[in-house]
Amino acid sequence: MAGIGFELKKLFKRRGLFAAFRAYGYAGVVCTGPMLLGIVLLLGVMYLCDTTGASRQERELLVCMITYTLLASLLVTSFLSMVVTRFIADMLYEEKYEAVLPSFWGSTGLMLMAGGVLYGIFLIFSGATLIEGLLMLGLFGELIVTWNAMSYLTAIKDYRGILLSFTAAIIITFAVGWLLLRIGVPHVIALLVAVSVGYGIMLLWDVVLLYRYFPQGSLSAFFFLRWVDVFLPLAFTGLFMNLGLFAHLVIMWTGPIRVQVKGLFYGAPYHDVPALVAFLTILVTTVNFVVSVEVNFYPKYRNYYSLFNDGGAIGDIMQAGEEMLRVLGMELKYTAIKQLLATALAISVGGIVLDFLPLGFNDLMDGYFRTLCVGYGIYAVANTMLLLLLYFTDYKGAMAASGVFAALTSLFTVISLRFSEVYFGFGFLLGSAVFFLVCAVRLNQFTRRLPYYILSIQPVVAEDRTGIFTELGCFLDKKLEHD
Amino acid sequence: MKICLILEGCYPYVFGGVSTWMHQYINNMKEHEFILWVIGANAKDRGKFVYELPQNVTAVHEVFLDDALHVKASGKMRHRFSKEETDSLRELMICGRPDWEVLFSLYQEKRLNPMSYLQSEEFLDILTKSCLTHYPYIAFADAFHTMRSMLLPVLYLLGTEVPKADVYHAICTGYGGMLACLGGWMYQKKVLLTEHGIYTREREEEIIRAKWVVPSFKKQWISFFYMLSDIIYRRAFQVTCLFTNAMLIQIQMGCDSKKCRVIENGIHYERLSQIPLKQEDGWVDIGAVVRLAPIKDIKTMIYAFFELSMRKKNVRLHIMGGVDDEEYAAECYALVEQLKLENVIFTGRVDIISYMERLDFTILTSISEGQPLSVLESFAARRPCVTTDVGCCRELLNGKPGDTFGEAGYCVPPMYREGLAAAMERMCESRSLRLRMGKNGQARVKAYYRQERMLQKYRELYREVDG
Repeated sequence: MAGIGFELKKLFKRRGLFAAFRAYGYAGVVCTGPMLLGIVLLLGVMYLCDTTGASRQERELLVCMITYTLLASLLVTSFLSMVVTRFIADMLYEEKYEAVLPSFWGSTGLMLMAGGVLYGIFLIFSGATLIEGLLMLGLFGELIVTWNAMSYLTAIKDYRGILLSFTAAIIITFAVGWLLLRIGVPHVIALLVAVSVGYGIMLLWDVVLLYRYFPQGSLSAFFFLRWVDVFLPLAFTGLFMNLGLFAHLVIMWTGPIRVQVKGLFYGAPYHDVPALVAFLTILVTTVNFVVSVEVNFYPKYRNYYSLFNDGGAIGDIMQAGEEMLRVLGMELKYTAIKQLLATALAISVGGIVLDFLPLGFNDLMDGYFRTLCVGYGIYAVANTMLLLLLYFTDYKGAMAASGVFAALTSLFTVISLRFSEVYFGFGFLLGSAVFFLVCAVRLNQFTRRLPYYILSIQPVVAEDRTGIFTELGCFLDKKLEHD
Repeated sequence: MKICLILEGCYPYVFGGVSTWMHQYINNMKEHEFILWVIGANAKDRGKFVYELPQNVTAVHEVFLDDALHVKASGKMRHRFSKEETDSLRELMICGRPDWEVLFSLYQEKRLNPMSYLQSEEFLDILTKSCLTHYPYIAFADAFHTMRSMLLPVLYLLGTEVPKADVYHAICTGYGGMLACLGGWMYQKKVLLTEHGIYTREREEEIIRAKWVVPSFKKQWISFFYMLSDIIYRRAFQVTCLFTNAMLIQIQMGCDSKKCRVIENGIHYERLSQIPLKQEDGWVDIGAVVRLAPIKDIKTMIYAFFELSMRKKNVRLHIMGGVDDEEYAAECYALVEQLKLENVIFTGRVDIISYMERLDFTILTSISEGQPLSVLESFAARRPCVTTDVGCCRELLNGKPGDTFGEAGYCVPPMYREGLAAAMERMCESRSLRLRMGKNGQARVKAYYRQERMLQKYRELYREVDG
């Protein structure tokens, strides 16, 4: 007898799996790592300059050059870092370890090419000497490889390795810098070389770690580009977060308190130095995320998601969801309180301490410091919420929130330039505050409808999403084959 | 009259009992115009008809279940559901008794996009609530995906284009029955149902055997097909089946007994009754007119024949029919080889009329049947039959109450190898027995199972629709 019955069993067999991705959290946290490391190095370089009798011009040029290179490299890597993290997480989940290393060189190569050309053009017109330019370009390249390697290392959770390589970079930079200065190399060259050697060691260290962990594979180096198409919002989230963090610094270099150091190298030391120091206060939330939010929230989160994967009944899912959100709320509250205390402490005690340090703090800088401490404090808590959105795979929400962050901190900072100098830091503060609100509202809305986002959002029929990045990957593969 | 025939997975795509019947049916109803509304599984079969369509088929509307997979969600759903609509959708999900008119209107008139619906919060909400009350202990994600794959084809079909006709005549329940009702609702026309087997029961057997259905969802799938059958049982103007037992099952499943009637299958008696009997040549030739498909249980047939050939050397088995299931066919060929059976002949699809001349009697080992044409044809050609006790085989062999023509073969339980072997052996032993039983069968077919008789009953049915 005829009848089709249920020929659609293929459809039934296909079940979405939700790997619990914790890597984001770490990646997000460690993304502040390079900034922190850069700040420590900068402060160290300033210190070395001051103690070895460099001219103010030399000192500021050095700070500018290192800052420019640092920010440029972070900006370039930010577009791919989260996507690459997701790619690695997927590959590890599928136990395709051999796909990891090729993607490392593929992504590094792309960023080196694109970033190198852009930064190279800038350097040609920047007014730097040839040797300075080459040193900066070299450092830029090193930094890109290093930041990218760190995305990979965080994915395998080798924090010890990262921390050790950080320490090595700092010690070696100082040692080499001190040595070169001793033998009479000019300050700018000596310290640029020192920083390059320091980061060079870190680069080697990280790559060795990667090679120790991942097998070499003959897979396509550009396979990961498919992930860029599929997780485009994630790529933009990375980019926007960095833009938001840097834009107010760069905008200050165009304003009334800017100092033209040489050619296109501008600085706003009155704003830059307080900003760098204030940024250190977010360490509290960064550490808190790893040692508390993650530790308490992740098990609940994993349990909740695994109930969807491993046959949890509706009642269990609802209960686990409530439990998870309760812990989430509590942890966010603690994060906010801790950051509030840290910020309060930094403002009250930090101001006094800074006046004693040889950073030349004045009243204006004290004011910026206080404003930016609050701004970064708010940013830190909002960033935690953003990371949680990523845990819940709300990539679109995260992209929107980070877009708001980038757009508003820039816009408000530009507007603030029209007011008195005293208010310059408020642009970032206000932008962060809106970012905070957006994240809070979105996280609240999203977590209320988690089953909807986990189940319903999935297309009934799986579809491949490809786009220009996938095509770019195919194109590059073909190119490489021919050569 | 413009009759829309709704068919599922058979005519005009594959050969088989229902297909053959349908083809002859349309060919003989010259006075009516037919529109075929056919549901296939795979869109790649579009237009691949194995029958040359008769002149009076004026249109073919093909719908394919896998096309449902290619429906694109139209973004976020804007529709606000009324309470009625939510209730009907919930009933649909718990395989209860939805208000189909509400659903018809939702997908036909309000053009709800099935994909968008399955991705909507409303769907999840209804599912969550029904899981809390009806399935508190089953895996929720599985329930979600099961529900989606269960509903997608239905929702897709509900929104499909409806051909216009004077009457909608479904040849099965299930999806086909549902479409017939949709047509009837759309153009306010009557709906007829002719069931050859009991669709729901067949699905049920399939589901129970299916390895890919998680056990906790078997009940759900089975209820789902019961629900689909329920629509047309309730909404049809008249329901016909091939034999009394089938009718009783239909009534048991909720069909109003007042609208049930039996219309037996009919065959072209004159053509078949002219076939001469086989001359004695020292061999006993057994024929099986079957497609190679698991439901026909060819393997048991081969095993039974193997036992028979241990006892009798002069027997041959002719398996006549195309391949339905490649994998199963390969297993059957391998089995014959493994048992070293030299006298099993796979003929492929052949002209039964001419091949019948070489046969002494026929065999049918199906696990499930309605009213097999092959048995009727065998009888008309004065060949008795060994069958399994499925469908109305026993009724065909022994006669309905009041039928005194006598036995026309042997009936054994399905999958009962020894029983089949013994029955065949008895049949082989005596030519006079075969002749007597063959004569009984022929007389029975002549009296009750002639094509003219069947056609006349269906014509009456169509007249009732008009009147």
